[in-house]
Amino acid sequence: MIAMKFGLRKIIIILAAIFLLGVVAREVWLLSLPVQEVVMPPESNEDKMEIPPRPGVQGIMISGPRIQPLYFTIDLTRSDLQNLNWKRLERMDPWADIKVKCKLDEKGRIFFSQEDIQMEGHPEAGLMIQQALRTWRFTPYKTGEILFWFNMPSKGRKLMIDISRLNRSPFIPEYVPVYNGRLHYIEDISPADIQIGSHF
Amino acid sequence: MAFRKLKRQEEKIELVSLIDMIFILLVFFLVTSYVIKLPLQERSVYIPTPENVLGRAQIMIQIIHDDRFFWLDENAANVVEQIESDYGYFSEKKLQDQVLSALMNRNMMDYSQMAEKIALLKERANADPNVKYFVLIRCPNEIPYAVILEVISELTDTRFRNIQYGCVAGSLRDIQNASQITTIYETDEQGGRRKNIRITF
Repeated sequence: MIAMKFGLRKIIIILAAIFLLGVVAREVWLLSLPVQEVVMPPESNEDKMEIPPRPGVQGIMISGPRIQPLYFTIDLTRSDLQNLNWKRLERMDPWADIKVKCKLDEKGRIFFSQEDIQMEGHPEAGLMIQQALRTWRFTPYKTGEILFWFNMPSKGRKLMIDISRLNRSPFIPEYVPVYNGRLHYIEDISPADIQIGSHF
Repeated sequence: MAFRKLKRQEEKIELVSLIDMIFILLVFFLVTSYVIKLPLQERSVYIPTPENVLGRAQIMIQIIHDDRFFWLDENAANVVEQIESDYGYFSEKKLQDQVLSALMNRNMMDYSQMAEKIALLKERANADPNVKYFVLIRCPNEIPYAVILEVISELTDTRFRNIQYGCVAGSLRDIQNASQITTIYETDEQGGRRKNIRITF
């Protein structure tokens, strides 16, 4: 019994000494580390805290609502639009070179007369294009002139749309951005063959 | 002469005292290690000081007294724009008075109304962790600090910690005496256009 008591006491003393040495070693190690290298406990997410911006005192700018942009595009919500099939046009006249200069009114409707069409030598394809174009309707965010150039033999520029003479509709406030969306209703044409720009 | 032989007393370590001492040392080291960690937490918690630039925020809370607040948020831009459009023929000063009067009528509130607004804001913040809000709290010097702390504690209790705040000193009079209050159209970081209100002191 006495021997056991003596053994237990010895064990406690040894453990206590190890503990004290461990704590002291840990403290010495922590103190010797540079501040940046001391790691916070993993359960603490203090380090992930985002630095908030500094408040300014010169004035105040309160963010307002986001202005929804408008898209000038073919109005596909209308059911009376007639589409063009590019493959069909190509089969009909693979050498067709047709230009149509259209006017867009404030309601997005397309107007053109016979003088606005250049289709010499390609009457069939020209007629088909005219018929479809007359049904097209755009969202009413731009007005002015839009030029469609159907150039079948071309590589990479089969359809060119000149929008340089289009202006924002006057009733749209200046601060509202107007972006261009889909400007044609033609199927089976590769996007790589379409060029939208100005002064072709 | 016979001397009595000195008996060396056996040295013993007192177990009870040892355990006491170990516990005292344990507490001491725990406390000192906390003190070592404290600068780390201070490193993490960045307290933003005001700077002399335009203060940008989604919401501004002007504390007037402990139960009166002036709240400006994105809806105020529409009010200002409407007045600018309706009373554009007024002189600059008169137009500004009109804008101020409309904003004051609509955006003055007591604590419970403001708490409701903050609750709605927190609802939006908790719904989307990607949306970040910055609230500018303006407080006159004479207001007890506890009032600001109350507002801050209402604001910061969010799931994603996406409501941030900055505090600056300032009174309602500064806003009333602002040289200009107007709507400005700007492009935000995401490339979207926004209708903002600018108050220039």
